[in-house]
Amino acid sequence: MATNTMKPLDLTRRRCAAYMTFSEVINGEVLMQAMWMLEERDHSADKMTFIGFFGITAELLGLDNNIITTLYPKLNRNLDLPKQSYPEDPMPQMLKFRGVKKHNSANDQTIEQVQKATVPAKKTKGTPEMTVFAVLISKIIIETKFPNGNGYSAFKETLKEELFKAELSEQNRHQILSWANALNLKVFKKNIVADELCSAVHCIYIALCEAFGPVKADSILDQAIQQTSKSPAAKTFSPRKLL
Amino acid sequence: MAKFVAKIRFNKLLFWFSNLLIAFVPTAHANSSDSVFSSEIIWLATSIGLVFFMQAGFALLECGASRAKNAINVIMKNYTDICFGSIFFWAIGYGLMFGESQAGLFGFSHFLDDSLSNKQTIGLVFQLMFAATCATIVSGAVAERMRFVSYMLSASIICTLIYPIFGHWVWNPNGWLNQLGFIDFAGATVVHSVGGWCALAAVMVLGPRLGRFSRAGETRYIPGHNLPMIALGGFILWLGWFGFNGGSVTSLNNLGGVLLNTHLGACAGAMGAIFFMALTNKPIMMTTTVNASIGGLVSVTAGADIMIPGTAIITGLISGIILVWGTTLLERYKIDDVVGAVAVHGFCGVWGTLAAGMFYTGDMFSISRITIQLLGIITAFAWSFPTAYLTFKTVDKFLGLRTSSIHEQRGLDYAEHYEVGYAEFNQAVTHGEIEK
Repeated sequence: MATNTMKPLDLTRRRCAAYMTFSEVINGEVLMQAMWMLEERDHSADKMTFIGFFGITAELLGLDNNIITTLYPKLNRNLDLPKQSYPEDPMPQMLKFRGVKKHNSANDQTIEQVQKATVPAKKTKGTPEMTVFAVLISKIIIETKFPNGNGYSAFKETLKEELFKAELSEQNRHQILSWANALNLKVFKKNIVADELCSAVHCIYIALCEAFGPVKADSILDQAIQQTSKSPAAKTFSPRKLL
Repeated sequence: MAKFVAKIRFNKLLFWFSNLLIAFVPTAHANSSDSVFSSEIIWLATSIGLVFFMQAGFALLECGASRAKNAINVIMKNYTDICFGSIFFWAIGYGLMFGESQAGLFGFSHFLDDSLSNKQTIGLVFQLMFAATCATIVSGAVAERMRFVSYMLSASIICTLIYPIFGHWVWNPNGWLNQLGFIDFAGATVVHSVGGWCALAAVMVLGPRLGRFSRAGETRYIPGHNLPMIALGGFILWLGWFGFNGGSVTSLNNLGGVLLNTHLGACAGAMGAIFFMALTNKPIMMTTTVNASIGGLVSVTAGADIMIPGTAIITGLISGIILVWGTTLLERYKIDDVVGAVAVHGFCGVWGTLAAGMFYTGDMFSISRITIQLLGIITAFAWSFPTAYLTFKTVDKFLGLRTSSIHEQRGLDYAEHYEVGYAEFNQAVTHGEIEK
């Protein structure tokens, strides 16, 4: 039976499915690194979002696009497997990799507590607009990964060029460029004012136009805005103000 | 009592109807020149209404071909270019076009003229509609990325200077092309080609819409937001064209032939495009078919009075092919023309003007006539394209021609007019919060 695509995924299920899929192409430390990169992603992610995270992680690891494309259907299938078909939860291995010994695999709450202790906090205390911006750009990146990764490099290249041209303070330009390079939200260490965030979103839009065409760009931005509007942060700062 | 009232009403209706018949049947009153004169005036006034209605056709077609976030901007450009263009054409353009000719180059009288006779005034209003049509051709090509204020200024210059000067050469009895025998019955070159070349200059100065062509050379199709609206616009333009061509007759005796050729040209244009698309394994698209029928109308405009139905059909068929080919050609050169105005009005106008020389009934394929037609075609381009290019470049320098990319992202409806075409849906992608 297929899982409900809108429902947040069970953490053990997503870990096991990702482990099964990734272990076909990588192993050892790289595999553990990949598993942690995925583990640090939003725990309330639904199936499609998680597949998006998976794609970004695979790309950040430097996997070939053709290989990544073959992994998507496998991950999709693995996420739908019955629980008894999964191998043992890879969390103990992951914790061992991080040097944490105490672990109760039956209790994901414990795992989360351990994570909180070991993994740098994902949510930095930022202004509402900064939080909304972070959510929005994550959603945009997830949208760009579907149905395939074509145009992704064109997107990144154009984004960098546009960011150089945009009216941004040097410090913020550096932050956003770092994000564009790594597509990792952790680079945002300081808050950026709404006007500059708006410029950054516009740069992203131009890059989307170049990479995917204006119709798809509008659609990606629309989807991302709609999804971001549902986030708690959107109650204090509407994502539409970033357009 | 009720029967009595009904009888009186019937008699009144009969009286009114018989008067109408007298007005519209000049042959029945051949002895009374006033009646013939009146019927021509009435027909010309009716044609003014039909040509004015073409503005609605252009507006719908261009609006439907644009994305939803730019719908209001396109409508505004169509709505206001006739307002600005009409006043400037009345004040200056008409004098340059139909004033006393200065060496066949431009007119110099009738500026701000309020002393024209009734017949002249109706002629002025009819010409005014033509001028507005010429200007509005540009609005479709530049949709979704040109600043409203800059467009209004450019459209005013087209109506005041670019269109009337060329119009003088062809339609003023002392114009130099007219003297040479150049044929352009209702303006395939004067109105449509000139408008098409102005549109070409505008899109070349403006550049394509964001993402229309990728850096790698890929061409992206940007569908309009309401394709049925395009078809409705096409139908309205077709209807208006009966006034456009029909109103240009010098005698009502030719009206039937002109209207028939006009209609057949449109039909053949669509047919030619459909055949060509089918033969070249292209999808048979509605938007192209509508454009092709308009291309057919443009092409028969030059010689609707001197062609027979057979040659009008040939002219229309070929214009359909030219339209499809022309659109592809422009895309190959990365020219982003939202509605295909350059192909429809520019290319089909050229072909129609040439066809008028080739298919001149009673003197077909006359080399001297074709040469003069070619001279007129080249002159139209040589005059209108550089002047329009210079105009757009100047406007760009002092006012800015292209809207900013952030406005392009938000849509020109919100960015330029603070209104949205479809407020109930799809705001998120195109617009920020509207807080008045």
